[in-house]
Amino acid sequence: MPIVFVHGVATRRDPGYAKSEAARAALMRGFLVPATGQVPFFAPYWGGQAAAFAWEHASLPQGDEEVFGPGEETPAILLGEVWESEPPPDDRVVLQVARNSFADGIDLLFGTAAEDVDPEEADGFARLAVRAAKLTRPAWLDTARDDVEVINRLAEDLSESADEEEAFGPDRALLHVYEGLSRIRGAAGRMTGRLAVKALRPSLNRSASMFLGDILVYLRQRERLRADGPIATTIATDLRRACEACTADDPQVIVIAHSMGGNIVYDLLSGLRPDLSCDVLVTVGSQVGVFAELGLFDAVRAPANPATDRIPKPPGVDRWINVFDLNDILGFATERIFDGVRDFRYSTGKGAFAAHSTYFIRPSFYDRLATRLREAS
Amino acid sequence: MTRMFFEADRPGPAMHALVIGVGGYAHLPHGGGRTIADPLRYGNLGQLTSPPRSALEFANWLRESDPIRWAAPLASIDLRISPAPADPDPGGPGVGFPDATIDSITEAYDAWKERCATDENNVAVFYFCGHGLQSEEQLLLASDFGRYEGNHFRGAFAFDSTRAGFLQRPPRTQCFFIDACREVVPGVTAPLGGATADPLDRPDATRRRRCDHDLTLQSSTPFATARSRPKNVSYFTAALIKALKGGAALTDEFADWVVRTDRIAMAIDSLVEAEAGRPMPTAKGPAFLPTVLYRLDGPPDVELTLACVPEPALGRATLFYEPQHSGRAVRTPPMPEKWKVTVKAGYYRIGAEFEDHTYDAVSRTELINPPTTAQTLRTVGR
Repeated sequence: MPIVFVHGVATRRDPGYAKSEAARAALMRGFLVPATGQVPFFAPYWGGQAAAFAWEHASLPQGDEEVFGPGEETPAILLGEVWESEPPPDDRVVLQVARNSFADGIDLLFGTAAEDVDPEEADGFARLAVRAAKLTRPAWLDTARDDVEVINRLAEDLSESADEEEAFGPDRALLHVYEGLSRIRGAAGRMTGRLAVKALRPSLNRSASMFLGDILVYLRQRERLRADGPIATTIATDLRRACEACTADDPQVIVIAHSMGGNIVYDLLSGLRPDLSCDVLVTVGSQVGVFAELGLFDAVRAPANPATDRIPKPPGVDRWINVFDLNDILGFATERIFDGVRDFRYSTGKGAFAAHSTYFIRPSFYDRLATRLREAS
Repeated sequence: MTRMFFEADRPGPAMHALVIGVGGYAHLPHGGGRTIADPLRYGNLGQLTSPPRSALEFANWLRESDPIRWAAPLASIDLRISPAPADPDPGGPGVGFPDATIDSITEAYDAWKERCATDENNVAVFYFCGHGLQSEEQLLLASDFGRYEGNHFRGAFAFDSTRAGFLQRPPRTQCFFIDACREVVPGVTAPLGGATADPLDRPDATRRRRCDHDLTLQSSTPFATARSRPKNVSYFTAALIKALKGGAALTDEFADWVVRTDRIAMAIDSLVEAEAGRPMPTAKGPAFLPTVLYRLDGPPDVELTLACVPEPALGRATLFYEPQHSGRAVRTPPMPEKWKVTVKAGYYRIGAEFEDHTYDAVSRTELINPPTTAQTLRTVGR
């Protein structure tokens, strides 16, 4: 089951890219292929061919100060999504979040920890995250006093007898969760007295400019070069390689495309490269529906009767699942525009602005995605 | 007075071993005692089933080896073992050992130090297998780690200082084998100035170095992990025993097969890799002058891998090896894979022949040395 992951806008090879890519790949393999976790994995990187800012973001509004310390932005975003009032006391952040929703607590801990996992440790971390996502709300949560107790009790619940190897030292995956807790504390402490979205304003402004930039650059390449545009070529090459990696025993290709990545994959499969195909297409937080309404795809014609007319899914796509978070202002539905696609809503809770960037760091998202894929097949 | 695992009266220089295996940690989760608060600060250190078995295997091998083959005959083994609750009888039902608490280890170390000091030509062997952490130096955890809530590391000892301190004590030949992790954890970095533990020994500015031949091996490099299969001898310990049995042997000036300290240090990584199935680099100590530790009674086993190139030739070749001057060649029929075979170390004529004459026959003479030797023959198509 070769898997292709196509990233969305605003993805660049910054110092954290290798770590986040390794963690994402390991989590996908861990959740989607639990039996072996070993499948060909392709992650075409097209950020290098997308928008470049000539004045290095001088167009961003000035005056905002960096609010968060290193590694604190992700926990701030995750926390901002599930906690709409003043953050809890910094020694009880995870406890309070988990009491509201245990899955949110797991997402906060593991989503934060995932940022700091070295590529060679990603598989072990993903195995732990898979086990964590399967836990049901434990009774001890009602009596736990603080976050340190929460993660120690959690570690105990996650401990398993060493079947293959025992280490004469610490469990590295659990250590990352433990270390992530200090960043969660730091983020919560700095959010005190202001709303999360205000604290995150500099980051959101930057993301919005990248979002616009990457879309415009892709559309321009497509207008000029069609399927030979650099972004289209990069993604098409890995789609082809994934098909070539199929075997008789392992014949299915799954393409998971985030945000603008979904639009590009749809564009390729529906018009630019109809020779390419996949068994399952999963678009996540994507704007395929909006692009279709705006007439930006060759394969989409305006309907005579919008109430009944639907566009068939690309012929090379066997099944198509579209996932969006109700809190993701950049994730859109597709069912009322296309035939042969199923929309699934995934709710992160209370946040409003940052959900778009957090699908792929949440164990709960992968867990539900795995369920949807099983249903789809 | 604690009963020794092995004791023999040897006149003159002798070998004295202190072997420690810690698997049961009373104050870590599932250890049976009061569990420390916030164990996750140490990365959820668990109970270990391998170290007691590893220590026992090492001690048994020392005891069962031929005493006269050592640089100095084996005179004593002091064995301290704390079994894991899940594997309470690593030595078999009813076989108990002195516990490996910090007090027990300290007492054993002091007594071992005295035995070692009886003759400067003695051989000192120190072996530890159990949990380890890294601070300014490697900290090795005794079975009562965490007994005192105010300072968990009162149940641990600092290895690097201990090793440096013992360098200033007799005998001249000293071996330290440490099979433990060297990871840094929040519980080590959080205390102001970093966690510290007392060493069993301390270097002294006024003493000179007494050790001339050192072999110090740590199964993990700084910030890395040592591992084992549960209830099995650890990768490192299994590799160490194989090295001593001949995996690290070479011939001396009499053409006798001997195991030298420097050769063990050279061979240990490939032997560990063979055990673990992946590279797990070890750390090696100061070394000083090499010396012979063990003499074999004959050539050791070697895993010989024979192949030929170009690749298509391999499927057509009859590969052979022939002990030099024996006239007895051993052949394998053509097959697409490399030929792996265990042979006794020594000089061999190796070669490839082709029944269908598609390639020229080729042969050469090679010294086949332990622990493994791979030989590839270049052939030319006709």
